[in-house]
Formats: sequence, C-alpha cells, structure tokens
Amino acid sequence: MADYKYNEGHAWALIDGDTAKFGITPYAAEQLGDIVYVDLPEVGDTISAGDTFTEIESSKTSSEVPAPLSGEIIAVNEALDDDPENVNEDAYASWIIEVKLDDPSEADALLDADAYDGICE
Amino acid sequence: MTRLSYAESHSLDPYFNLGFEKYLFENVPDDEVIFYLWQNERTVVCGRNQNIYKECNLTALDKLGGKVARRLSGGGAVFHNLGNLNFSFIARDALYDVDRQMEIIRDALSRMGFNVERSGRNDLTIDGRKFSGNAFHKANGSNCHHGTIMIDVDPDTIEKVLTVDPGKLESKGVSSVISRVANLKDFREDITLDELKKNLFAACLRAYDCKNFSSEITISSKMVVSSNGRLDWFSDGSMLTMLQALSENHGFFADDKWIYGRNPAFTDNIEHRFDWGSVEICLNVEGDEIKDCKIFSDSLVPEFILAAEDSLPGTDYSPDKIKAAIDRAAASVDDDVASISEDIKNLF
Repeated sequence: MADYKYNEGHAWALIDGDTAKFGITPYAAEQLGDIVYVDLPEVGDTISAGDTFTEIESSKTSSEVPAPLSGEIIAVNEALDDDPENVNEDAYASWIIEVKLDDPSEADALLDADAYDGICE
Repeated sequence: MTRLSYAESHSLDPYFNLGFEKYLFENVPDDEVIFYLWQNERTVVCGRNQNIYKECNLTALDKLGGKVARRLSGGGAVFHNLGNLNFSFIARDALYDVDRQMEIIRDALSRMGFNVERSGRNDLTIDGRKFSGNAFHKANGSNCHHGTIMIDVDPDTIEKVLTVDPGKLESKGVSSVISRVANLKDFREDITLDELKKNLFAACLRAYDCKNFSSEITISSKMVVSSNGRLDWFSDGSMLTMLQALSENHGFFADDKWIYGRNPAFTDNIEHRFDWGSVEICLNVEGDEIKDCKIFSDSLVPEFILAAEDSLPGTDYSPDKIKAAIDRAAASVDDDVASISEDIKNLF
C-alpha cells in the first residue's frame, strides 16, 4: 500500500494531486468489529488535520476518527449509509470522505506503511 | 502505578451529567482510571446514531415531564430515573479494559448476593433478565465505558416511553434491541442505593489495588469541591477553565442540534382517510429539517394541498413548526379550509 499515508488515529489518506480520500485502516476495522454505522459529515464542511472527520459505531464501541489532512470536504461515500459493513470487508476500498486539500505538503508529516505497521504492534 | 479517581454527580440533569462525563473523558490523564457515578431524573437516553422519533415515545415522555438526551456512545435507547444508577469507567487506552471493568461490576454485586452473568458484550443479567446495559465510546486515545444498573425502575414506564408506533417512519441508523429487564430489587428487596455505590467503589479499589485511595471529587451542577484540594489534573488546574468547559458541555448536550439534528436521515409517510377525502403525506427529513414534501389528496381544495406541500420544506420536523406551516398555508388560500387544515394538523 505504497501510495497510502497514515496518521496515528488509524486513518489513511490516498492523495491525488490536491485532493485526497480518507478512510480507516483494516487494522482499525478489525479492532472495531462489526461496523453498524458510519457517520458522514456534510459536503462543503472544512476540517483540520486531527479533527474528527467521521464517527464509526460497531458492535463494540463508537469511535471518533481524526482527519489525516486539512481541507474542504468535496464528497462523502453515501454507499456506507446503507452498507457500513463494507468497511469491514474492504477498508481500503471503502473511502469515507474526499477532501480538497489546503496544503498537500501537510502529507509529509504522515506515516508511511512501514511506520504505520510499527504502531499497530 | 494506576491512580483511581472517584467522581459523583449531585445533579440529576442529564445534560449536566453527560457534559461532566465528556469533560472527564477529554481530560483523564494517562495513569488514571476515573470511576464516575451519576443519576438522571426521568430521561430517555438514546444512542449516538439513533433516530429519536423511532426509539422514544416523546408524547408519553412529555406526560411524565421527562427529558430526552443523546449520549456520545452507540447502542440503544434506555430510560433513566432515580431507580437507576449509572456508572462510567473513563481511561486512556493503556488502562482501559472492558473485561476488567465488567468484572468489577459483577464482583461488587456478587458480594451483595446477586448472581450476575455477562450476556454478550453489552449486558449484565440475573436469571437471564437484563438489569444493566453497557455502551462504549473512544476518541483521541480516551475511552468511556458506561452502563446502567436498574435497582427499582417501573417496567411499565420503561415500556411506555420506549415503545413507538412504528407507523411508516423509515430511518437509517441504529435500532434498539428489546430486552427482558429486571430490577435488583426483584432479587433482594432491602437493597439500597447507598449500599450499591459503596460496594461498587470497594470493588474498584480491589481491582486497581488502590490501598490508599484519597482523591474524592464531589460534583454538583453549581459547585465543584475536592475533599483534599486535588484538582490539578483538571485541565490547567484553573477552576474557571473547568467550570467554563462544564457549562459548554452542558450546552452541547442540551442543544436540539445534538439531540434531534443528529437523527439519521429518514422518511415519514402519513396516510389518513377523512370524511372529506384521503390524504397521504410523504416527508423526507435530514438533520431534523424537512427537505422534501409530497402530499397526495383527493380533497376538493387542491390549492390548499399544494400550498401545504410548499410550506413544509425547510421546516423543522416538530409538530408545532409543522402545524404553524400548515396554518400559513391555510391563510394563503381564498377558500375556507379551516376544518380540513385542522384535520391535517392533527396528524402530527
């Protein structure tokens, strides 16, 4: 997963030019167990890195997930409204929001795959 | 070494109590477990991602003079009153352990003579009947595990306030699971609240091996007092900062934006046949605001039906606001539609 970047809150960012999609990692999805609800924010809202961008409810807990990067939300994955369990099935395919980044170079501060694996142990 | 803090709210206001819990959740230090006890007067508390209209009978709750609240954690709706005690375990990741916390509750009650079993992840039962429901929340490395303990809550009242005629309301979000409930009083009539609190706390002291526990924090909605002056871990140690945060948190939980605005999107279809004709109203609601409205009717005043249909989008999904919008629609047409508009208003 060379193209993915991570924060310590178990969110990933997949950057494409000045936009990025955010999701949660397979490790986080496994820790949460069966996901029953993914709270989607509003398109047009702005978020800062570290702020909660989604809240996920599973059979075990509800959990707030911090945004890896800052920007304006330009799309949300509405398929998760009806099928939140998609995140369990494929956490990388199940992006949650898409963001127009304030500053793509913010990504330099994120973890790469190896560094992220290190914090999951 | 683990430190244990004990906090107890002397307020019965659900918004204060949830706000204080949020404050503890956001400020708990790495080496501390906070055990917090609280009670709410007549309140239905819904899970974070539930539709209140589907889970709570607001009319029945209103008759009781009760309140409705939404908590941070997920799961289903519960009814609280003074026959119920709530507990919270609040800790950072390293000290948070749901199994250990559940065991503390079980241990405390077993020493009081109750034969408690854990059922699934979320429930504690006696003889297969649930007296304690538990829910969980995490953010930024902090964790909250909280639960109810029913000592003496009237089951008929619970049923009344948590039973909603499903009607045609269809909502996304999380639905409650109906359980066969029990009160601790059913198994030991002489149980007291005070005895329960003391036993719970003693079980915490044993579990965390805190022989010299000395920090007790007593909270009321007006005052914060520490028996030994130890409030250092409360944010930056400033009482003012803390009181300000508590007041903000109270506002957060009491705000309709949080309570109703967080309802997952839903549709409501209302059909009725009157002697003047039939009517079907389809509402699409998001963030507690009516986004779209379609009204089908064979009434003889289609102008009014159209005006009503136009008046509802943008209106809050509340009976009062909807009725006011229909009144405006009725006033905007030339015909006398007083009795028809009255009938339609009564559908809400």
